[in-house]
Amino acid sequence: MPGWYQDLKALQASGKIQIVGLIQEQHPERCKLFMEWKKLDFPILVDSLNRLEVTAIPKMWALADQSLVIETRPKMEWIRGEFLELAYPAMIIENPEPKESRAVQAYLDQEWSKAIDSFSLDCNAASVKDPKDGRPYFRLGCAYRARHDSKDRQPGDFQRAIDMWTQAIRIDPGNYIYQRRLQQYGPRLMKPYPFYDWIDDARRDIEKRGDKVPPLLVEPRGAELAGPSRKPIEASTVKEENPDPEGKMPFDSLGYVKIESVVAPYPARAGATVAVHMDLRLNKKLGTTWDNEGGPLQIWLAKGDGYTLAKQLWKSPLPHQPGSAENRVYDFEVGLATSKEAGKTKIAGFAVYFVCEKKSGVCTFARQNFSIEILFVKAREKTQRRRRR
Amino acid sequence: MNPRLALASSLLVLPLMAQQIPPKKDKSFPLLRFPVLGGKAGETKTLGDWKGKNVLLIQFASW
Repeated sequence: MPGWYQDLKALQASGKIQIVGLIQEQHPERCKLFMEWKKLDFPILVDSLNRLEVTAIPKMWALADQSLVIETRPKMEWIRGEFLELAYPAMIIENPEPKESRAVQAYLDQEWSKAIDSFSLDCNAASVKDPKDGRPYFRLGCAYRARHDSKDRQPGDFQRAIDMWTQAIRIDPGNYIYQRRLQQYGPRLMKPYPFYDWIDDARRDIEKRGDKVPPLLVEPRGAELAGPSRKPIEASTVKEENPDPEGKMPFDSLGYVKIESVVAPYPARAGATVAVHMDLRLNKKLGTTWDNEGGPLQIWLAKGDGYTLAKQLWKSPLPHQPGSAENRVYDFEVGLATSKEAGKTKIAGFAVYFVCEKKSGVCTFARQNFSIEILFVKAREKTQRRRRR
Repeated sequence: MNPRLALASSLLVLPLMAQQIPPKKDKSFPLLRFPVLGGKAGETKTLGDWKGKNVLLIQFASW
């Protein structure tokens, strides 16, 4: 338990103050796991859209009678002393609960498609009235990602979320909250620290205590677990074997597996590193399952001009059971070549996999080709420092 | 007299307290409605749910 909380918990138990937490994470249930791990026990409000428009965290506010801000950076000594003794007459708050916009209300109601439509209109309006306002783009990104994580997911939702967050940062590059949202899914070169590498430790420690581990709705993956790296991507010197060099494997003509790839950030910048997230989902209508006894899923990426890969071949780990139906993900990074002009590069590749179809009982192997398109803007120009005279 | 109580007394003269985004010292914290972590689907709260209490609001992230 953090030291600051030990101090405050006693004060809260006395009834003299109420601790309330506020988070702006895209996947708030991860904070629930964090709270259980660190044994923090206070209510948490979720502001994934950053409606409070904070530009940095952590922050602490001392509030009297629900809303008057007494201090913005209260010190522990002041909290224990003056703050506990303060008694304010009730405030009359102007317009106590302002009416939410249509877009925000839809988001609060978890009507993701409605939120997306409404925030899209806000973006259109902002592009005309206030091109320096990144807020609607950020919030539209949040809505797309929320729909991606829901049962109403549409192909392309995750990429559109990345597109919108990239746009929000282009408009407001100093906004810490926007930056962190994109860095979470972005390449290691962008990361200040690993975002969710604590999750395994949290689960283990909670289980050891004999407590219940809060479930996660969305498991963190590759990019969210990776630590920062300041090295550019270097091509591997290890010889890798193409699993189907002559294209002899039968193509997946029935669509047993749907492949989707997401590039972050997007558009990228020439010369930069991007993160690529690949999702391979089984066709539920066909009742497709992975045939783990047949062999692993393999992804092969072709080398090409315009980019560098650390490795070309990836093999998925195999579950113990003979058949399974999970979504399979592969996250990797690509180093883009420098360029003075904007443009795009394509990474060709293919996946080979072993699947079974429930209806016919047929198990087979298949190949599916794909192409990952990466749009980029021109590299930043290096500014020259003026010499002091 | 405690200067903060004096401030509060003077504020009583003003009939209405405007909310400020982002929140600032000596202004009213916005009473926006937020989902509650671990709450029921659709459950939301404002800080008004803790009316009458001194609140320490801590904004943080698990990352």
